[in-house]
Formats: sequence, structure tokens, C-alpha cells
Amino acid sequence: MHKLFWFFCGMLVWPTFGQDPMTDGAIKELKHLVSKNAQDIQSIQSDFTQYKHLDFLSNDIVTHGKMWFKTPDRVKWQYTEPYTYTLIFSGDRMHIEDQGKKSSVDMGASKQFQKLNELIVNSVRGDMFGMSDFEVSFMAYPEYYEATFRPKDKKIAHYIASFVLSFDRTTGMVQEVKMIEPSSDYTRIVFTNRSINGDIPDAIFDQ
Amino acid sequence: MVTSRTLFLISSLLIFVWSCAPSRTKGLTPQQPMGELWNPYFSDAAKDYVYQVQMTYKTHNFGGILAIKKIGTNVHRIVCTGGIGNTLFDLELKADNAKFNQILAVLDRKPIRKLLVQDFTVLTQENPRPTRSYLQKNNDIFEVNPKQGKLLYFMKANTLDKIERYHWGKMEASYQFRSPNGIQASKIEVLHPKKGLSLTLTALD
Repeated sequence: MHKLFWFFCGMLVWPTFGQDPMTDGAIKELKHLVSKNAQDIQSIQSDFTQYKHLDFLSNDIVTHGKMWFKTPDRVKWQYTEPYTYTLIFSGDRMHIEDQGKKSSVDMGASKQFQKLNELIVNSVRGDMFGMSDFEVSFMAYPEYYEATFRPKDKKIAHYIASFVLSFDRTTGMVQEVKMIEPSSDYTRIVFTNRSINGDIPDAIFDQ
Repeated sequence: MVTSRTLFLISSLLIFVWSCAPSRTKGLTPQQPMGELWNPYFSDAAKDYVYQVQMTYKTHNFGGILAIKKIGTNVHRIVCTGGIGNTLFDLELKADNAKFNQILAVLDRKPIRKLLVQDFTVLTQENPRPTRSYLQKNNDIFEVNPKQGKLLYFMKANTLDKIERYHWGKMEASYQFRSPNGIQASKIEVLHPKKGLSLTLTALD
């Protein structure tokens, strides 16, 4: 009986082991670091791995590629494996290149796309704390801080349950972006080989 | 007593019905088919079917990923995601029921929903029962009559090669399969010639 009691106690404690809510001081410090980064960062170049998790599939769908960001609002996602596909967000437009075929979408016509673009640009820099239409909660892990942004607007909440950003505890840089959908399916993007403020020619964002 | 007017109406109706038959089978001799057909391409419940999608609508091109899985007897789950992984639609298809768990607002239109349900019903239906068959030089053609329209299944060497969907005798959509092993489709091309819409699915595994 004793063993069973301690087993259940262990089960209750186990899922939260290694994670703690952040203190007010740590939250303030992280926000300051992220805000400073956002001001200092003019460009980012990084490799990424994207994991698309769908509950009904046995395995996540894994894709790899490169990402470029340049202030104020240009982002390029170039998928290289297992297929080639490029998305360029520039102002109100989204350009697509799919195996040589090019097209362009005016995101100004769709508030949904516009919001998604704003979220993507801000999440790449980590600078989402200024977005008043999200409720934010924080957790501290031994290796990183985690901020979860839940939309207040029901229309946005209809297609995004939350955005979860993982920050390096020392640099305040975004390591991972996780976009969780209302169904609990999610897209997780992990950044590696990041280069900050390197020279990125404007031609990278040409369509 | 049958009047000449009634005869004229009956013969006109027969001519009209005959003219609605798919032109692909005109001139071929129909035969009584044996048993059911087998569409193997989404039939393995243990397998994740993952495809890259390239969609062309008139002058626009879009891309994404399509995941299909058989989640029960005659039940398939179909999810299409956009470039950065956002779900465009999430459809659950049963034998005589279709339910969208999620669909992006810009796609949430009755004609688009109908088209998606029609296309994926055709692609995932495993054992259609033909009412007629026709022998050709390179193909065996099987005619299946679901509730709406008419389907022609083209079999090459006992492998499903193509499906065509007809409405009032006119082809509305075609589904061409490329399969090196006859079990899994490495490429599927869906064409809606009247709508200027085409989809190319390329297997990612």
C-alpha cells in the first residue's frame, strides 16, 4: 500500500519536474533582453527543421530548409528537403515559388493571412511581447525560457490555440517556435546555425 | 394506347440518356463485370500517406503537404497544410458521410467543400462495384455509378491507372496514378479541366 501511495505521488510530480513558473524579475529581465535583441537585430540567417505533428499519423512530417529575416518585415523560408518550396513575406505580399512556378498573394485582402504574417515576423525575432491581442504565460526550464501566447480574439483562436516560443536563457534568442492549433496538432520549427546581422543582399528576397 | 406523341417523347428521352453516356465507352461492347474493383492507393491502415501538393488554379500556384490515413473501415482522415504548416483543411470521410473538422475561412465555400469531398471520395474509395465493363486494347474499363455522376476506372495489367468522373456525359475530373509497384502511388494528378484547376501529389516517402 505504501509503495502504491509513493508511486502515485511520483506520477503527480513527474510531469512538472524541471519546469517552474518564471519569477516576475526573470520575466522582466527576459522581456528586456528580447526587446534589446529586437532593436539590435537587423538581419537573421538560419537553418531550420520543421516538424508537423498530426495526432492521427504515426510519425511527424519533417522538412528542412533555410530562413532569412531582414528588417523591417521581410522573411524568406526556403524548404530544401524533402522538396523545394520557397515562401517570401514582404510587406503585405506573400510570394511563392514551387519548383519553378511563381505566384503572389496579396495578404492585405485576408486579415487571417495578415495576422499570420505578423505573428511569423515577430516570432522569428521573439518580439511578441508588444502584441496586446495575446495573453502571455511563462515557464522556466533548466536550458531555456518558454513563453506561451494565447490569442484573445476568438477569430484568431479559431485557427491558432497558442504560439509557444523557447528562448535561450543567456542570449534571449528564439530557439524554437511552436504553433499549436485548436485540434492540438502543431508545427514546431527549430532554428540552428544562426547568424545575426550578417550581410543579406536584398536580392535574396526578390521574387 | 400509345400515341405518336408518347413514342416521340420516349425515343427522345432514350436518345438523351444515350448521349449522356461517357464518350470514352461509345462504340465499345459492354460486358457483365465480375465482383468488385480494388483501389489500393490509400488502403493500408498502418501507413501514413504523405504527399507534397502542387495546386494550380488558373494563373495561381499554391503548395503544401497532404496527409491521408485510413483510420477505420471505410474511414479516412485527410489533412492539407500550407507552406508553413498551418492547416488548410481537415476532412474526415466515411462511406456516406463527410465532416470537416477544420477548414480555413477563405476555403470555406460550398463549391470548394463539395469539390474536396468528391475528389477525396474518389481517391480513397477502396472497393467500388462496377455495373459494366468494357475491353479495350490497353485498358479494361469499368463503369461505376455512385449517387452523383458516373465513374470510369481504367485498369492496366490489373493495376488501377486512371479514374474519370462524368456528369451528364461530360468529363468533370480525371485522376491519373503513377505506381511502380501497383500498391502505392508515387504520383497522382487530378485535373478539373472545366474549372482550370489541377493538383499534383508527389509522395514524400
